[in-house]
Amino acid sequence: MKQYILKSIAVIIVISLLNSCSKKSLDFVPQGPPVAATFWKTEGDAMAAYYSLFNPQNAYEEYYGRGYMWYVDAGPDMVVGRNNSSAANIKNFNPGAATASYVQDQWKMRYLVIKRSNDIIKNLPGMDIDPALKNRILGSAYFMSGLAYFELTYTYGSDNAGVPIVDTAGVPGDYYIPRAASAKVNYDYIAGLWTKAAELLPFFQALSPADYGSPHKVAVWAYMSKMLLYEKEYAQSENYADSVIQLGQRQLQPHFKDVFSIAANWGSEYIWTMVSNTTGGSELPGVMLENKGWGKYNGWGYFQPTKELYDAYQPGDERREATILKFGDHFTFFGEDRVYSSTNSLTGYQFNKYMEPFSYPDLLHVNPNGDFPTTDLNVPLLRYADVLLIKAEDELMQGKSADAEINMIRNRAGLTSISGATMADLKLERRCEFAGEYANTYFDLVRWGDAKVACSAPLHGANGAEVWPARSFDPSYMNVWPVPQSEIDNSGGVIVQNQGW
Amino acid sequence: MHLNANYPRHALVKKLLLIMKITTFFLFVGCLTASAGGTAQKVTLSQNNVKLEKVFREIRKQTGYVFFYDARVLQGSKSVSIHVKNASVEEVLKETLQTQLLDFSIERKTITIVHKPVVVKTITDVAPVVPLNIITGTVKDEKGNPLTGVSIIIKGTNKGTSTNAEGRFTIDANAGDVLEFTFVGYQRRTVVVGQSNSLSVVMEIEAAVGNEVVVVGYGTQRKKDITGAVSEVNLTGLKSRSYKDVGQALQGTTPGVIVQDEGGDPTSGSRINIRGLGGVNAENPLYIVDGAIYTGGPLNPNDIESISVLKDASAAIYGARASGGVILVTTKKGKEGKLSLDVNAKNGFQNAWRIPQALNAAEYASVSNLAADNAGVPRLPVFDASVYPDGQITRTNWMDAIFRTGKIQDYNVGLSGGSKQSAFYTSFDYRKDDGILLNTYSERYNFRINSDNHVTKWLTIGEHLSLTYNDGQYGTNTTSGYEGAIISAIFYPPSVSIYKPDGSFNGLPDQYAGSYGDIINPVAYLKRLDSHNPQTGIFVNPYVSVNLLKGLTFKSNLAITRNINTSKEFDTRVLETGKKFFNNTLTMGNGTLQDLLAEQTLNYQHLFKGGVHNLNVLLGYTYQKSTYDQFSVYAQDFDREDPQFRYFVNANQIYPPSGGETQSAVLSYFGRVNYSFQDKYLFTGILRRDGTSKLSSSNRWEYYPSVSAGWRINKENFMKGISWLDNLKLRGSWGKLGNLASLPDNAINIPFELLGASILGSPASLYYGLAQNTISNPDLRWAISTQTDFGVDANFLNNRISLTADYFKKITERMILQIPVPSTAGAANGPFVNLPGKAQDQGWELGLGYHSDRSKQLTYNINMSLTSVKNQVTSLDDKVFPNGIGGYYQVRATLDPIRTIAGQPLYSYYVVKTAGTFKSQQEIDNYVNKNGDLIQPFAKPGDLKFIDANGDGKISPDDRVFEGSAFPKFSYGLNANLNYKGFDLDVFFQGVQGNKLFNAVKFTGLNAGQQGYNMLKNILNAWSPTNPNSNIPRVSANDPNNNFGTTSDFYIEDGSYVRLKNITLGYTLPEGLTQKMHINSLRIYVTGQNVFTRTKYTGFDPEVGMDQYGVDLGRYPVARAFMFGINLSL
Repeated sequence: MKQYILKSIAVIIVISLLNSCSKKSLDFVPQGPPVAATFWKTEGDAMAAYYSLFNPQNAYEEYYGRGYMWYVDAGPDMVVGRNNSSAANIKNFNPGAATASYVQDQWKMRYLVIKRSNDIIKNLPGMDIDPALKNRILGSAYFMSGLAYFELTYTYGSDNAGVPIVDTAGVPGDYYIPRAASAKVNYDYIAGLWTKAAELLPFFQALSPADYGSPHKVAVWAYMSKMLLYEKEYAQSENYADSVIQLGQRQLQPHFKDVFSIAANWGSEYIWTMVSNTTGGSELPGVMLENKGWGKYNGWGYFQPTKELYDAYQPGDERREATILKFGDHFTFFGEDRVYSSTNSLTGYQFNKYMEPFSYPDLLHVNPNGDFPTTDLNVPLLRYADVLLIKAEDELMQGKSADAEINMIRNRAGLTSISGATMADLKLERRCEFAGEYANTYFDLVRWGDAKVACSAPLHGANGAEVWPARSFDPSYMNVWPVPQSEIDNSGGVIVQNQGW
Repeated sequence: MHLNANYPRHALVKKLLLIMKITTFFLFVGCLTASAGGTAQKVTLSQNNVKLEKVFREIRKQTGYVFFYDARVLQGSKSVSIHVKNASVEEVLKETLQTQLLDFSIERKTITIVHKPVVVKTITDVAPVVPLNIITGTVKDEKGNPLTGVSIIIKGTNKGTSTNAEGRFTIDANAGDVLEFTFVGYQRRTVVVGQSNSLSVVMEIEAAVGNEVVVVGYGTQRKKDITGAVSEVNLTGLKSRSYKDVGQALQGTTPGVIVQDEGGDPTSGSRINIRGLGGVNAENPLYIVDGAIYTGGPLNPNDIESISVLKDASAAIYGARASGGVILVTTKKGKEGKLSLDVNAKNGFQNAWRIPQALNAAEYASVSNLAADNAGVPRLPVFDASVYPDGQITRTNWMDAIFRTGKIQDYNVGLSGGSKQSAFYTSFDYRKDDGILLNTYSERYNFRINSDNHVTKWLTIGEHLSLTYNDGQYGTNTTSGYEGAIISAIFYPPSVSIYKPDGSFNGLPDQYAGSYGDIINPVAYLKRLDSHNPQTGIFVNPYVSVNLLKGLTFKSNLAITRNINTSKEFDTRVLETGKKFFNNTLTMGNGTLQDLLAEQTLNYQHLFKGGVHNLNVLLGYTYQKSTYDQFSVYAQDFDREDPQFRYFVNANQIYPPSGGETQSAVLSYFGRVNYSFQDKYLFTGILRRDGTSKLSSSNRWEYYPSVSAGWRINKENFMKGISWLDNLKLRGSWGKLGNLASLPDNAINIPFELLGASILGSPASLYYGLAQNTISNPDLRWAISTQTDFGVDANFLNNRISLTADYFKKITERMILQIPVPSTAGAANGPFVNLPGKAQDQGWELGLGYHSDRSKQLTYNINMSLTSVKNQVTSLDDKVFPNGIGGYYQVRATLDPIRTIAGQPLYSYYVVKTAGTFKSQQEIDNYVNKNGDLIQPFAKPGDLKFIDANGDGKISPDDRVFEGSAFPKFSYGLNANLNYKGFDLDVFFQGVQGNKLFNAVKFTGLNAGQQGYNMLKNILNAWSPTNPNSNIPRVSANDPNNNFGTTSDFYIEDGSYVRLKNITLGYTLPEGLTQKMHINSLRIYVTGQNVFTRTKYTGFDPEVGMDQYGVDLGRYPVARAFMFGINLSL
């Protein structure tokens, strides 16, 4: 009997011990970062949501670094400077452009911005935070969402199909969204977003330096005018350009070369840039630098200007030397004078626009990480000169004189004024002004209908030798880029490829 | 159990206890400790015509003496009548046993009952025809331990003797006499007396007849009773080899268990797949160590006593986590007897067995020039001997420079001992593996204490405690197409010396740097590595076992695991030209896993009267909770890089840390019934119910049933006459098992993610946002597999030959996969979903064993295992994956060879087929489509000829076809060991057949169209007008025909290999010598690993593993090692 009792006691002790060791729950509150139900409560949450809008463009190096520039590279002004079949497929309008790794996530990253904007638009209004901050964050969401749609629309959208619109009123979880009926549908949607953004956002002047980089009213207007120009709504476009110009807050930098200087990051010509520093931002300056930077720094040696671009400049155009380095040119490189030469450049030229950060001694203004060669130079996305030339184009297309705006640009470049400027003059100015920039001179050729001619001829290097064979541009379908193949694969066929690709 | 109603209640309970004690005793053959009921030394008995057992029972009750015997010993004993008063135990036993064929011995308070040795006649009445020989000899068990009390009888006579404490015996016998050796629990042996006067006899445990027990999950089963596909792993050679992990010990040894080394990196492991891949779930076997689900640190292979593997539905006892099979490891335990100390030391070295070579400087330049010429582009000045003569001088063979001879050290000390009440085993192990690439290594410390304490007759308490520590050099990176140790050694110009004259690392020449690729000096890369991940694992597993009633045992098992993983990686500046990093960075992090497992089981075992019905019922309840908390900190910009400054305090820039915690729990109820009828018809049923916190409350519970049955045909009467057949059993099983794959803890409600920096402001600063970056799926359920197995076990020719064969089929449904979503979902990562599709693993496996006559001086064993698995996706959701699942593994963002699609094996190669190279322009011109257009208009002689599989007249990705996978069709192992006198030889071959590897080193090493990299020597064999039969495409700086950019079968090679995994030659010193040295035994041995490899694969090594689906970018090769070892027993 004694044993029997002992055994029972032993078992009871063991079981109760074990029970006390562990509460047998299968329900846990997720630890660490908040979940959907616990977010959107504090001002800190609102700021975290705001910062998330700018993460994709920094986290994904191809956003404003190398990847999107491959599309701009398709024009006649530059070539893929190194052996790179993936990049060549884009440049050559090969079917491989749909699968090239550099551009696979161009959609994805922009839809991250759109989703995060939508979340702000949905959740922020109900939050009890400082009203001024609330307006700025909300306005930023409208602007960033619109900007993402805008870049997607003119790159991939056409009269045949736009890009998918993820509406804030959409059903959560239903993310197989087909493409909009046409680019026009997208543009109208973007106009709605940007109208709200313009209402809510402050002027740049109202921002404290710590908040620079936050969307502002003038940036919205400028992009609105650019979008309307792309839509060929010239009068409306001109209105928005005028809003920017007449406000008088933005001005051309006195010297073209200074536009691309660290000092001018937030200078008078700034409207919208990819904010950069030595840890992140746009790697474009390093991408364009000589391959391995003559042993000093990791240049990647891509995007080399062509003789076609060099020869486009008129004599005396200061922009040519500011834009292109040729053999024998002197420049300052990490504090030392250097004469440009290269044993591996395909064209014998290099873009000079983004070289200022490399002129300083030591690594003062460049990223020490060789895998991500960003600099302290903010890479312009839309600058005041663009607004002037948008207005000029609007004027010309409406039969008005654009001499004033074109001459502002010419004069700054050290060129004499002209009168009775034509579209041909405007086209030249755009080409010379924005070569190697995200203003996207390639798309200018497309929308002007000039791409077939411009993109079919062979391209040449400094010594006159052909460096890029003739391509064949078929405007019947190449006016838009193929949708990244991963989108089509991942959507289970809901997203359809652009016709012809 | 028969109750007698006349007993008073108090006495009844006592009686019950008594019956229980003794019956349990009989049931557990060989399990023989118990404690005293009384304490008196004198016995008073008055019994008439009772069974011996009853007398023993009475003696024990009165004296507390414990009886030790095999129940079968008493078979055939006569009933006795005995009447004694205050007699000594000896007297009573003598009187009781005088008429029996039984004898006894008493040691302390233990009485051992054995068969009576037949007394050797000292006087012979008849003169011998042949003079008698005095035969002396020893009897040992298979492990070389002497056996005491073995009875030896000359067959056909009543002459006999038994062995003494040292296992020795002496007997007079004639040549030609047959000696018969018998011992409880061992197989009967017969030895014919020859000319020799000394005999050495090895007796085998009665394993082959199926009485040995096999661990089957929450208990053990006799092998003969098993109805599922349960393998015991052949651990021969375990002591002589040096293993990275337990997986290596399983490779090739066990049918159905496919083990692949994931390369030879000392820090990499091996991957175990039991019976296939189990669909697209990340399926892994579940490890159970000493009965507890094991999530602790790496096991010490020297601690392992046995391993059994549950391969089929019998794993259902582990329910939701058992779909990938269960590996049950039992560690060593102390044994009653004198303390024994076992020391095993191994020391040796290892080398790469094959190193493909890169071009020398002059060859590099000339191939590059040829490439330029063939492409019609100007030669680069860097390769022009007149412009840059320095570039033609070979200064470094980079491939040889990065490899070295590595040292392996492996030391193990085990100490064990115990008494009847208490036994322990403790061990310490240290292993260091210096890899064959510079500055790579792994090391491991293991410490273990196991103890078992029989506190009372009904209460056992024990524990398993282990402490592990392991670390190594990580970050060697041999899996990238861009950078890393091996690929850089191929790419790096041989004209560059390793060091500059000042001793610092040399880089590319500044003037021509841009003509070479972006590469880091590979020696510098390796020597700079400082990436450590020390892991400390503490595993504490106390248990309590209570014998409640006759046959009814309660067991409680508690396991607490704490794994502390600390990581520290310091990346130095890289200032030599090539690919510069001006900053240095430090990342440190910590992750701690805390796991608590509480298991309660009740086990009831009953052998019904007459032994016709045998029932074993198990009921259990477990709860497991895991918590993982982690943080990580990143900093950069350290002024000084000396090791003593590599701490955050010296960083100029520290980024905000990240961190969090996840929790999960599993709650389970389970039961198992084993029933056998007449020892012939066997049945097992299992039901388990699991619930997990990882799923929402409506989906988290699931039942896992399994049934299995066996028929021991040889027990049937009609088989009685077949003497050569010792055992023949048919088995069949069916069941459902679960799998949660690598589902994260919060998949149904994923927290916001702390994102990388956003850059804003003036000055531009870093800001960190939060966003939902992964889509939650509250509707998730467990993946489920249905497993069916048919098997046969047979033993022939006196158990010399054993055979196990199984056919199996496993269908996996509701596979869990994190699917890619269209971007419009707005999250970087898609949700985990249950795929509406099925995958199937189907195949057969065979185990064959043979052992020679143990009585011969030369003995040998041969074991073979063979597995054939065919895995296939039988259906997949067409909406989400109209073209299957791709993008698994890409080579330099260009080749994308892996695809999973319905109707094909998982992770199949999806490639354009080639038909060699075009030999002539005419061949190109003749290769036209039905319109007469050239199919490959850009081709030139020497370019690859691609097959237009879809017949559309052009070559495009649409021409891709499926071309097999890296998963072997067959995998096999063959082990033979030989013993002769003191020598032992163990040979182990292992191989796979029918797998294909994607040799992507061809893309990086035979392709002259890349960014100025050096290439492999084999490019000299490329097609040229003078070498027109080569299948390596012509050398060219451009590739209009897309020879290399096309994902084609040019890269696919046969990955089959057969490898002499191990060969060991050992010598055990003669006993006489070791006795003089006062040691138990001493064995010295030499062992070689991967000594010999036969393969058609042209890469470094065919053992590249499945983690990259067979895509080999120059994986760290598996090394060839030679070691010397000493095994000393005290």
